[in-house]
Amino acid sequence: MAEDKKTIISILNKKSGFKQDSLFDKKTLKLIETDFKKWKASSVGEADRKNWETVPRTTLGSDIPRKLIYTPLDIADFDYRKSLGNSGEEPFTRGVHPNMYRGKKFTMRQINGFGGPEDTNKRLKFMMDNGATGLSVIFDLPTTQMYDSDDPISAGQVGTSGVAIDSAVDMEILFESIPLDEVTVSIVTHFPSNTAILFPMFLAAAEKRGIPFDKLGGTVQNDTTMEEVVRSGPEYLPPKDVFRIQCDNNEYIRQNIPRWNFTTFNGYNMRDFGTSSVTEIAVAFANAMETLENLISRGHDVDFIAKRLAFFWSISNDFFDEAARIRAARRLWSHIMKHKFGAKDARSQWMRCHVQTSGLTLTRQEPLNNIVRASYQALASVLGGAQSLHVSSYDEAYAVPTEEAALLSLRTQQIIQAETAVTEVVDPLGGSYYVEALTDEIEKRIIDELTEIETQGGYVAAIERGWLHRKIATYFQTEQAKMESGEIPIVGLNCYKSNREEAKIDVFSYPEDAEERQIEKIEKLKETRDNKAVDKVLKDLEDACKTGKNIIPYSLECARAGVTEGEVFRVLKSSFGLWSPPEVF
Amino acid sequence: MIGSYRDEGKTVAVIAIDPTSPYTGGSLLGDRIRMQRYSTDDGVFIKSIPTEGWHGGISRITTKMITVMDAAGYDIILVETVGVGQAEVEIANLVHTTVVVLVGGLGDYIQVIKAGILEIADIYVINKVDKNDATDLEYNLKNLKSISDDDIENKWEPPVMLTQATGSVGIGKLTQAITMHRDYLNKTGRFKDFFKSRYKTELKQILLDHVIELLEKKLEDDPDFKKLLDSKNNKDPYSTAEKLFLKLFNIKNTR
Amino acid sequence: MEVKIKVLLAKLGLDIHNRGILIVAKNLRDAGMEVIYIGNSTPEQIIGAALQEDVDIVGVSSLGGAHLSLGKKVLSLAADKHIRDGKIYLMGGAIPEDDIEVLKKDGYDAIFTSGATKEEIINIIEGLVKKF
Repeated sequence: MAEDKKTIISILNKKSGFKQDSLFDKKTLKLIETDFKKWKASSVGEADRKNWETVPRTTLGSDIPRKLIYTPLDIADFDYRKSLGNSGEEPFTRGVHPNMYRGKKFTMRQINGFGGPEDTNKRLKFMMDNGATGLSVIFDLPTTQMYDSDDPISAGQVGTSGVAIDSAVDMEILFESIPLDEVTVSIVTHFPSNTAILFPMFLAAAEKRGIPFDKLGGTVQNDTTMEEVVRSGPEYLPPKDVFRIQCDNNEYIRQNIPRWNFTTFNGYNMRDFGTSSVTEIAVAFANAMETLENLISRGHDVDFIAKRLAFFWSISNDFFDEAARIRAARRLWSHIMKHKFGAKDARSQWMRCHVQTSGLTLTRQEPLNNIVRASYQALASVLGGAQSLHVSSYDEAYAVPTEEAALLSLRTQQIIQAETAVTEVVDPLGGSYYVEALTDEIEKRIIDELTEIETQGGYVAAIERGWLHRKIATYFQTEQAKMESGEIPIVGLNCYKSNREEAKIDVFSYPEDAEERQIEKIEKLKETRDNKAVDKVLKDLEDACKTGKNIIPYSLECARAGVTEGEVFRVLKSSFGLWSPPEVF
Repeated sequence: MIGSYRDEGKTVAVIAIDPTSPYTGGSLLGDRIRMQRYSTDDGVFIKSIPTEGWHGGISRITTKMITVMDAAGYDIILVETVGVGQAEVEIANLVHTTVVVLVGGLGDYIQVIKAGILEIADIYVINKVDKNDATDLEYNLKNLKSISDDDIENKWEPPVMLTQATGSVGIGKLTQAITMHRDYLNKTGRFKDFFKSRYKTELKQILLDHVIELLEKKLEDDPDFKKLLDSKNNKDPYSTAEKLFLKLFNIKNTR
Repeated sequence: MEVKIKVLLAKLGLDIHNRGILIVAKNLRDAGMEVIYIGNSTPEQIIGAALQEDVDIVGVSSLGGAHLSLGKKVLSLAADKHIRDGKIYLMGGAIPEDDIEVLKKDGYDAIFTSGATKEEIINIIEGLVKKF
């Protein structure tokens, strides 16, 4: 590491800016302060004075104490131009675009995926017919964990919690008749490794249909945290190799599919596993920064890379915390891009994000309550200025959402957009003493955690050393105890419980013959493809893995040759070896 | 290592030891998960056991288990202990070859010197070679053994091996070194010494077990003991214990 | 020496969520039990481990929708190896009501779903062990 590598704190402290132009008049503040003290001493009850600050007891919360009331005194040095700026202007706290939702409505994107590709294809068309403006596909367990549908380890799990994809042929079927050059697609691959296998299959399918790569728009998840830290799996590749694959994906996509978001730096899955709203952002930012450093060292220009960078956040229950943190993340990211990376293009400073309402906060008891929870969460994220939204379905604790539940999630978003008028005004919470104070505090805490990660040696080192695993384990073990004891109130579960008979929920039933169909397809594929060519492209891929080349073009050749996912994964395993994550309980 | 032995056609039994929580008495035995792929291999038997508070860092039933596995005919028996600590020294008396695994660059050297582990190692392994700078540690280890004050003839020189477990780098060499050590034991007759020391350790373990069991039973049955604990005017624990001990075991005080 | 309850915990199949099972593992250990957690496992691996480790209880976690297909397999393999009757079998996860009945009929001694607390789980386990 270079001696002169500056810490994140020193960089941000030295950032240039306007001199402090406080919004409030000093004399008036003095008057307010006098009044406030008098009021607090006489009108406020003793109990409230003693408990002036309380910490909200929520799931996945930030533990930031809240005062009884917030006044201008709490943001005495508030400088409108420095802290907020106008929307679409540095530091982008109020929003990425000047007109936000008036100009570009938030994309309504619901996750779909079950059975074989032919089954999901039907559902995708259904969603589009009903107003979805973006598509999102999730894969079944064997596909996610990179095993073929005919692998014994996949038995009984094909198509049960996502769509089964074994080869580029399946990708073609999945998107049959879907206008990939008109609609954006989020391919929820989760990990760098399976992204490196499945995304090229998607590309090969688009190629077959004659759609040029520069017309494709969408996102892949491609996140190391997901593969190494918050996933349970039978086999793991080593963190530094997974990170390398993440950067290979980023590089290739950025260079060849210009409208594609190459990574949504993930907070959601880690958060929902069990971390605070602050840690979620800190870890995702640390990953993003290390990725940028890696790509810059490969010779790329930071503005070129940053154009397509995006984040993915979880939204939990602490309403104002959730809205404030998106604003804090926007402002902090803007500063990081400008002052640490020297980004010249204003667009590089945008913290664009997709959000999903938290699955962990949903209960199996009184499932209709979940509709209410998700609505508040969705509203908070809209007030925070998120770019696109997925509202978790109310039957999430049971299984894959039914059509009815999926539709209701979509309607939740549409009602916010069409009926509440919330989207008519940019950053409606701006200027609230509470929200601004909270935004500042969250930003400060994120920087503290970034420093902690820096001390570990960076994001990848923090994973290798087990620091991140341990941090998460400590958090969720403590939180779970609070959820069970009722210290964190959950309506219908540990408080306000009812004894009435629960209304029976229709549970989605997935097509049971998907496994058979997929096995047949693989058999047929292996008979009809050129198996000599397959051997060659696999060998080329192995070489690329071992010699540090970008492996994506080689994976694309495999996809074109009809190689299955399991075959590619085997090559990755033999090239990089396996890794055992630290045991933390 | 299991993989390497299986490739040679050998059957392997593994005893994986993890600590018992001193507060709850429960234990989380998490070694097996790393060897899961062998759960359906008939040539591999994996047993996870807790330390159960046995101060040796190994379970009190470890020796019995080794004997049973030996009798069952497994070619290789691997015992994986709790970790680096003074207690690990006990294990050296129960097995033919002791391998001490260190991770370079994380200050293991100092820890290891403190724990006295270095003296029991027949083979050193520095793992995760390409992640950390292992050369410092390697250098220190190699120098350390050359100034050892053991001057028996035909001394075994513990080799220092570098491995990378994720890529199986060096594992083959490790199993070779273990075989070489076994040959050394045979040739020099150390094998017999080993049996003697193992017998002694086992005997002591079993005797200690008996004594502790007996003592606990006696304390349980002794009506005065509980009264003693509840009493407000007790003398210091040392003289109290001594008196009690002599009384329980009917020993005349000859001091 | 007190005889500890020995529990084998596993994730059934390729399921990626392990928060729940990690919490259960810790809770059972804190309750004084000997817990062996083997992560993602096939039914064959689960029964292989249950045999070798000679556990009293086999607990599987399933949130991936394979509770019926793989869950049944665990029990039938156990029967093949003659360890079906001598052990307690538990399942936890995202399991729809109708399937709970099916699994219980098949032979699962208890099913735990989202919202089950540490106390509930431990009480039920201790109750089942007493009956045995």
